[in-house]
Amino acid sequence: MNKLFSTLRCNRFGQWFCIAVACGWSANVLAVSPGTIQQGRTLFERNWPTGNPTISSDGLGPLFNGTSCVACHHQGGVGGSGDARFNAQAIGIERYQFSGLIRAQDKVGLISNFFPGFVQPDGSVMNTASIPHHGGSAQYASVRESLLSQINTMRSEHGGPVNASEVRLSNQAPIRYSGQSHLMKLTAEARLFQRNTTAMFGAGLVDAIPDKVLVQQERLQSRHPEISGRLSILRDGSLGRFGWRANVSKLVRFVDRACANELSLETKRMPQATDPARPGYRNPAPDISDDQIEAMSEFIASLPRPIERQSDDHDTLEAVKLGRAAFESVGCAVCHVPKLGAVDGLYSDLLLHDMGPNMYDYDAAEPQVIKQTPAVGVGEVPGSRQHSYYGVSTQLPGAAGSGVNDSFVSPRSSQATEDYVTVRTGQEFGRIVTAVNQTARVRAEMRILRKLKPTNTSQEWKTPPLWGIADSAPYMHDGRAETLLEAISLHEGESAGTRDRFLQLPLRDRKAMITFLETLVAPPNAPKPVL
Amino acid sequence: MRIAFTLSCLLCLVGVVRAEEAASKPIAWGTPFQSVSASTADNHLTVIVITNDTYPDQARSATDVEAESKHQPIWCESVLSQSVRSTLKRRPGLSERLALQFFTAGLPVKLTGGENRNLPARAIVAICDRDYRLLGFRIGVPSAEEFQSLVEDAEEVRSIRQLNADEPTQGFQAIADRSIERLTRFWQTPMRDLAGAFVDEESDGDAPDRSRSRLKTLGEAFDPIYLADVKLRFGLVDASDQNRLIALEQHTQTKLSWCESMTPFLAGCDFEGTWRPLMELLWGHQPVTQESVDQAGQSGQADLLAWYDSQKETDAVVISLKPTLRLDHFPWPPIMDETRGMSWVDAHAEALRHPFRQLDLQQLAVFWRERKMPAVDLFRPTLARYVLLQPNKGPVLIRQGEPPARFANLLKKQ
Repeated sequence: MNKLFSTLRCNRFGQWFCIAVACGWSANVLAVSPGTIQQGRTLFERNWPTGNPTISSDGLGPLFNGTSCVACHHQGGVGGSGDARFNAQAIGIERYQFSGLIRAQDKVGLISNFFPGFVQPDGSVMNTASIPHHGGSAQYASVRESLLSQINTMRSEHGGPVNASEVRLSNQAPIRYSGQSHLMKLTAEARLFQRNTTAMFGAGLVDAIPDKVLVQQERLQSRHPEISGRLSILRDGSLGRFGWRANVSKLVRFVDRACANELSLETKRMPQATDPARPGYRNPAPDISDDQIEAMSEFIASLPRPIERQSDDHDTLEAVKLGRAAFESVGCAVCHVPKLGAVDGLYSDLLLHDMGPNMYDYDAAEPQVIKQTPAVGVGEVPGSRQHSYYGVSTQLPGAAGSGVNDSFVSPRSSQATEDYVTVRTGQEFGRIVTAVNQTARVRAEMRILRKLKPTNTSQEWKTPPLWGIADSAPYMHDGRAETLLEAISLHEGESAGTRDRFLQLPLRDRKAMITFLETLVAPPNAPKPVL
Repeated sequence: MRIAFTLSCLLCLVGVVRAEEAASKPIAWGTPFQSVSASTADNHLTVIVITNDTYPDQARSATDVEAESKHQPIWCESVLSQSVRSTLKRRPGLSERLALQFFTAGLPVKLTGGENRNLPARAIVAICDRDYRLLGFRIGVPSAEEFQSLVEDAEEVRSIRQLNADEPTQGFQAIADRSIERLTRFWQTPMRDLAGAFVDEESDGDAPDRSRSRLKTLGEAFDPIYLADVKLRFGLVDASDQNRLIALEQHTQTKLSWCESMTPFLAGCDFEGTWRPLMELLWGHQPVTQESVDQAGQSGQADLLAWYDSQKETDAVVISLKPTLRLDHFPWPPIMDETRGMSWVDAHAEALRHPFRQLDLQQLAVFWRERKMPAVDLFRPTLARYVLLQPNKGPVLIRQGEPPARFANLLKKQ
C-alpha cells in the first residue's frame, strides 16, 4: 500500500486519487476484512512478551501499565473500560524552590533526584512525568516505590488504587521532596494525577463523526448563557475527539500512542516510554508494525456500540421516561448531547469544558485557538509546552546558562496568546478560520501562527460519552466518583448550574434520572475476554 | 413426575399471584410505637420512618391529632411506598411480618418565625424488632434494592444478637466486624478504634441518659470523618454547601457509611427511647412531634400548662430552653463569662427568682400551640436561651448573642 501511495504521489491524478482513498478510509466507507478484525482482536488480547534488543526489538516495556490492551480495557467485554485498579498515573510538580548557594549546573540534577522522569532526553525539564506501574530498571523501580510510598493509598497488584475512595485519598496527599546538592537546597511539592481507562465501544462511530459536526456544536454552545464548550484544535490542525483531553483526532493515532505509552511498544511514529534511569537506551527497532496497529484500530472500530437497555417493568419504564426528561430539563443534555451528527445515543458533544478548580491536572488540554494564519519569515517562538500522551505539560522555564528558574509554580491556565506550529511537506492541515472547515494542502514546510485565548486548560476536559456508563464505574477522569450521584455532584465550573438544578429536583425526579442513566449499558454482544 | 411438575408450576403461580397482590396493595401505615400483641411472630419487623415534615399548629383534641396522623402525607411517601411495594413483590413473605409506621418531627413554623425551616426535606428509615429494638437504619429514602438490603441487614443483625444472647459483647463484636468489612479504609480505622473502646461496655444501653451520652460520643467520633468523606465524594467545600448536603442525604448512599459505623453501637437499643437524641444528632435540633407520638409527655404537658396559668397574671414566667445534644456539654450559663458588667451567671440567678421551668423544644412547641402564642424565631439571628412571658405582654426572647444585662433588667422591672 505504501509503495502504491509513493507512486501515485508523483502526478496530480495520483494525488487526487490518494485524497479520495484517504477520505474513504477516514469515513470507514471501505469494508474491512473479517481476517483483519480478527487479527486486531488477537493483538488486542495478546499478552505481549519482552523481546531481545540484541537481535530485534525489546517488545513489551521497559515501562508499561499492562501486558495487554485487554488487561485494562475489559469492563463489559473486550474493549471496555477499566476500574480504578487500572488507572494510569503521572506526577505533576505543583511548585519548587531552590535556596542556598545556587549552582545552575546542579539544578536539573536535583530535580532528577526528586523524580528522574521530569528530565527529558534533550535535557529540558517538564512539570509532569508519567509513572507506569510496572517494569523499569531496579533504580527506577526503587525511585517509583519511594515516591508512591509517600501517598497513603491502598494499591492493587495492577498498580492503581483499589477503589474510588483510595483515588480520592491519593488526590489529597501532596508529595514532598527536600534535597540538597553542595549548599544548594531544593524543596518541591508535587501531586499524583490519574487517568481512568475509558471504554472503546462505539469508537468507530466516534471516529467517523465529521469535523463540521463538532464545529457546529461549538457554535451552538457559544450562545449558551452557562455552557461554553470548545473544540480541541491540535497542533496539526485536526480536531481532537479521543482521550480525556480530546488530544487525539483519529482512532488509529489513539491506538498508535497507546501502544507506545501504555505497553511501551515502540511504533514508527511514537517512541516507547523511556526508563529515565537509563536515558541513553534506545530500542533498536519498532515493536509493532503499522499493519498491526491498523488491524487493532479496525478491531476497535468494529466494536459494537453501547445500548439503552429496555425494561418490561412498568415502574421502571415510567422512571426512565421521567429521568430522560429531567436530564434534558436541568441542562445535562447541553454537553451530554444525545445525538451528535449521525451517532445516536452518544451523550457527548466531544468538546472541552471547564470543570472547576478541583478537577485539575497538569497534563493539560490544548490551548484555545481563535485564529490561524500562515506566518512568513518569522523565527521559532520558543515553546514552553510539550505534548505528552496525557496532555500538554509545561517546560520548566529558565534562562540560557542558568538551568531552570530558581522557583516555579505550575500554572493552572494557559498563558500564551500565540504560538507557531510547523506543517511539513505532504501533510494535510485542517484550518478552522471560520465556521467552515477548510483544508489546505501544503507542499513545503510552512509555519502557521495561532492566536490563542488563555483558558484554564488544567481543568478543561472533554465531555465523556455517557453511553455504556452503567458498566464503566468509577467515574470522572480519574475514577474518583464511585456512583453516578457522586459524579453528578462533582460537576463544577461551567456545569455547576446544571448540578445545582439537578439537586433542586424533587427526589423522585433525581432517582428517575439515575434510573435512566443506568439503562445506558455496555453492548451485550461485546466480545468476551478469552480466559 | 408429571404430577410433581404440575404441582410445582401451581406453587410458582400462587407465589407470583401473592407477589402481585402484595405489590398492588396500598401501604398501610400504623400508629407509631403501637403495642405489638404477644402473638406476633418473633421475626416481626417494624419499619419506622421519621421525616422533618411539620404538623399544623392548631390546637385540637388528641383524637383529632391521632386521626390526622394516619393520613397526613410525608414528603417522601410516594417514593418510599414504591420501594416497599417493589421489595414486597420480590419477597412476598415479608408482607405478613413487616409493619410500617411513620411520624413527622420537624420544626413547627411558629417557632421559626413563621417560616418553614424544614427544607431541604429529611428522612430516616429505621427497622426494629417486635420490641422496638433497633436493628438497622438509613438516612434518606431507599430505593427498592436499598430497602430490601436494609431489611436483610436487619434480619442478619437480629440473628447475630439472638445467637449471642448470652454473650452480648461477642454479639457487638460480630456486628462491628461485619460493619468494618463493608466500609472503606477511610472509615475502618476510626471504627476499629471506637469498637475496641466500646467492647468492654454492655452493648445494650437502654437508659435515655446512656443513649444520649453514647450518641454524643459516636457523633464526635464519626461526624468529622463523615464531613471529610462527603467533601471528597461530592465536592462540598464549606458551610455554604449545607443545603446541598441535606439534598444529597435524601439518597441513602450519602450517609450509608455513617449508618454502617453507628449500627453496632445502636443495635438492640430501645428505639422509642433513642430516636429523639438520634434526631438531635442528625438534624441539629430537638425533634417536635404530634402529642400522640409522645405518650409519656402528655401528662407532663398538662401539668406545665396548669402551672403557667396559675402564674401568668401575677408574675413574669421564665422558660429556659434545654440545649441540644451537641451543645449540652457547654455549661449554661457560661462559667468563664468575659462580659463586662452583669454576667449571664447573674442574669440566670435573677431568672431563678421568678417562676422558672426548663423545657425542651417538644414541650415548648405544645405549650406555644396550646396557649396560642405568636410566631417567634428561636434560632435566628442567634439561639434563644430564655423566653420571658410577662403579664399582659407578648413573649420576649433572650438570645445568647445579646448582653445579659438586658435580660436581668427586664426581670428586675417585674
